[in-house]
Amino acid sequence: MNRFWTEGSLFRYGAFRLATAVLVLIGSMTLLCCLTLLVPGDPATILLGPRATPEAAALLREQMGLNLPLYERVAVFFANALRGDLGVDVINGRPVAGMVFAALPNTMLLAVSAIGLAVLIGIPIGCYAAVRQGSLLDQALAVASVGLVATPSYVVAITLLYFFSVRLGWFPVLGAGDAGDPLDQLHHLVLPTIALAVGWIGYIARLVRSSLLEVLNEPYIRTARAYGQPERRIVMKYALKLACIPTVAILGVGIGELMGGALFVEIIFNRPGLGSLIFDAIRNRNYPIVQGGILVVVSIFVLVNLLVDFSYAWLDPRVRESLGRAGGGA
Amino acid sequence: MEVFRRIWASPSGRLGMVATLLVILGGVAAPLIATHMPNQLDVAARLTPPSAAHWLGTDHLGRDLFSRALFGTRIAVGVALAVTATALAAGILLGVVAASGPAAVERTILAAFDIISSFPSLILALALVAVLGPGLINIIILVTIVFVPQFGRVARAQTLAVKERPFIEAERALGASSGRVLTFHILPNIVGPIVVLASMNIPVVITLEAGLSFLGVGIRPPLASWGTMLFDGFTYLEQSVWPVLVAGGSLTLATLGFTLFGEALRDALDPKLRREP
Amino acid sequence: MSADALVKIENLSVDFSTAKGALHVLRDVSLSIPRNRVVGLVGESGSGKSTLALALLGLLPDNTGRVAGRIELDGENLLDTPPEELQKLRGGRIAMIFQDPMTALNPVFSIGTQLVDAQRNRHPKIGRRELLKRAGDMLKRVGISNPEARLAAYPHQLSGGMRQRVMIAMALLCEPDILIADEPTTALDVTIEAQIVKLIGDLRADFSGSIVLVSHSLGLISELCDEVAVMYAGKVVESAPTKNLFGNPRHPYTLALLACEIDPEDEPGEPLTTIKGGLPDLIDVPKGCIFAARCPSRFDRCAEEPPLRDVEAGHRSACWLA
Repeated sequence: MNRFWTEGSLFRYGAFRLATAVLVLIGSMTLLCCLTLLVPGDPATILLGPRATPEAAALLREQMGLNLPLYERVAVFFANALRGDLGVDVINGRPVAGMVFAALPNTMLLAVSAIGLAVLIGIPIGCYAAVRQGSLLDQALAVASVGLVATPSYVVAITLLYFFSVRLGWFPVLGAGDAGDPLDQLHHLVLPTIALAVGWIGYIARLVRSSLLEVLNEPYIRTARAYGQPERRIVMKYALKLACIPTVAILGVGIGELMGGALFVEIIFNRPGLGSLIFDAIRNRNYPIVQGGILVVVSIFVLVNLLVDFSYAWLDPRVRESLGRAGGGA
Repeated sequence: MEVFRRIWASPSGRLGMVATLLVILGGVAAPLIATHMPNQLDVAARLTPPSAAHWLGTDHLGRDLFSRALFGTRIAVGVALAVTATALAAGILLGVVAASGPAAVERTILAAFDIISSFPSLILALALVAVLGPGLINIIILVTIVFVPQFGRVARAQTLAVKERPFIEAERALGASSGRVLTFHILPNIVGPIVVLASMNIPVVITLEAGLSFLGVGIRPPLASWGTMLFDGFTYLEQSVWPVLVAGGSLTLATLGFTLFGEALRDALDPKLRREP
Repeated sequence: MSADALVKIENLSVDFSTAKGALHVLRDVSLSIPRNRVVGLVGESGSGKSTLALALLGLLPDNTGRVAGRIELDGENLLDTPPEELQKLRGGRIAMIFQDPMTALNPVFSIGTQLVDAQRNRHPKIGRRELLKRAGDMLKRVGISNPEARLAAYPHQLSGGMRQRVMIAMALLCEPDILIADEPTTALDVTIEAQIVKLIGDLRADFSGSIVLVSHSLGLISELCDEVAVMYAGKVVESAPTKNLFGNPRHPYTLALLACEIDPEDEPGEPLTTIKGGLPDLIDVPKGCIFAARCPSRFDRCAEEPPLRDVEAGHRSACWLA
């Protein structure tokens, strides 16, 4: 155990980050439970809205433990969540966990494809733009990236939908495709993925470009050149590893934005997924689904951030020394 | 003023300034230049393309798109400004308190910040809207909550940085009150980075509010948000592209404009970039 | 100029392009680096000595404008050599130790990896494990204990002195014919500096190539070098074997530099000697002797630029009074 616990080891860093993540998760659950306190009056009736029958209200109250003090509620919520029980929905009494985890893979597929596409295209473009500064591609990138990043994802999605599905008919408008046919599913996946990825490609490319330019001016790159390393190796091996660090960092935060964007994309392209699920639940005032769905989203977000921090520490050994306390520290 | 000149000097900054001004002027002058009332129905002229009567066409209820876009500006920019101003005020307050108060208070505030930021902004907004319900005031409140941590952290960091400087100790030794130190030293230092943050924040708020309205849980009719316009247009996309075009175009103009302006502002204020040859 | 020169620099001129015009960093510099000798380049900041070192390496910065003259290595003019061949020379026949070990090493790669990669030009056929072993042996030779641990470590985990030893090891591993050390001790504490100076002195005995030592420290130069060239504002103003230069300086600038050295025998409270004035404008270079404006011994002939010529065997000076 001692061997693993040395200063600056990945293991120790990982352990601390994990502990932090768990604390944040508990805090989020507390917040979710707290939200109902924000509501004046009887939360159950308010949450159910116009459909509030006394029986439904009582059921919801019991369900969500609204009669219990806050800390007990959080504890119960946490314990249940660990067991995989996220409650039942108010309309049909179906288990929330089942619905959420059925919808989750669709959303993950979309999110992962989008990130993959963005990284796959963004990093090489950024690399090229840095090495060939001032070229046509570099200038085009500068212009396009700001536009694509600033435009809201749903506007991009609708625009793509309009041109490529409605007008040109190249891609289907609705749904995720036939379950048994991977090719059809892929066909349905193309536009939504592009819609999600497009802003990210520009952002990542610009980020890689500027950090690569910065890195290439650093003294240690001069050392590499002084020892006759070929320029290609210098860029690909020495500079790129460092230049990708900021990209990895933003991916962690970006995943949250991505999930938000995925929600819109799911609705616009009428795909099943967590986004559609939560959205319909909000419209139907089906709060347990909202709560359960959001909890899963947040957990994934925290998990991804953890992984990002990990790869950050793997990429940049200097980070391993600092232990990233929760709450920021003095 | 030097700052504005510098922003004007860069092409993207110029574009940003022009777009931003267009949007703001459009919103302010809406009652004057709009050709129709935004909620005026004209069922006979549903989903028409641009014409002399309706400069940008009509939506599915025959309402003039140009006028709706103009009034939508008031919502978009109004909400963005209200949210940013409130989040700024709350953030600065909490940040300064966190930096200068007792450690327990600081830890609590930071923990609250961490928890709020652990939610993706849209998801948090949805969670809050699920509880509070839609509507203009609620949206302003909940979107503010989403953005307080950003400002709070910057305010705290700047306060900490200033606090450590020796001249502050000297001033305290001379008997300067905390209030004096706060007003004359800490606040001026916070202003710079916060102004940039705030200007970069506006397009994000516009996007978030329009997004919530798009999903139907934001601004409710009769108020015309670009988000609701977009959703309505989307429903009828196959019949007419104009509602989507107008709403989407307005959103893009506003977000692009404010983003470019914010970036140019940041570059103009950045001492590092002010290198003399 | 000695007949057995390894490198002959002839009439080298280098300009940098700036917003205000061409900066004439090096003007008509001629110098030779004999085999198996340690040549010192001494001068204040802005004298052009670091630029000369970079020119030897072929790594002049991006804003370099006009480059004229010759740098001859084995009869080939390095300035005319295509970049691919220059790249092979670096880390093979020519190696450089940079000034600041803090920033000269890549923070995200281990010391071992960097030392292995540095050898690839010299030993392209040898495998990684063997190169690593050689790196470990060299670390031991430069006085680093526990080399295996250091090979696995990252630069930020080493102290400044150790990092500089690593840089020295890196250069020596290439078995270069020319080793250029650019201010090797400037960024280090005085006590560490003494250790590094001793190390260089010890290693020199086993080193079969030539060393070019660039520094503004006269003490360092006098201790380690066989020959010295004094540079001022982009020109060589005096060059001689070390003993001759320090024992019998023949240029007012050299005299002034020596006078500026802090003398431990001085009484406390004695004002420090300085050279009045500042560096001349290198964009609009004044005519005549470049040091004339600050020279206490100037006279009317100084309006004409004195050539660098032999005043004794092996001792050159660019002064009418020499």
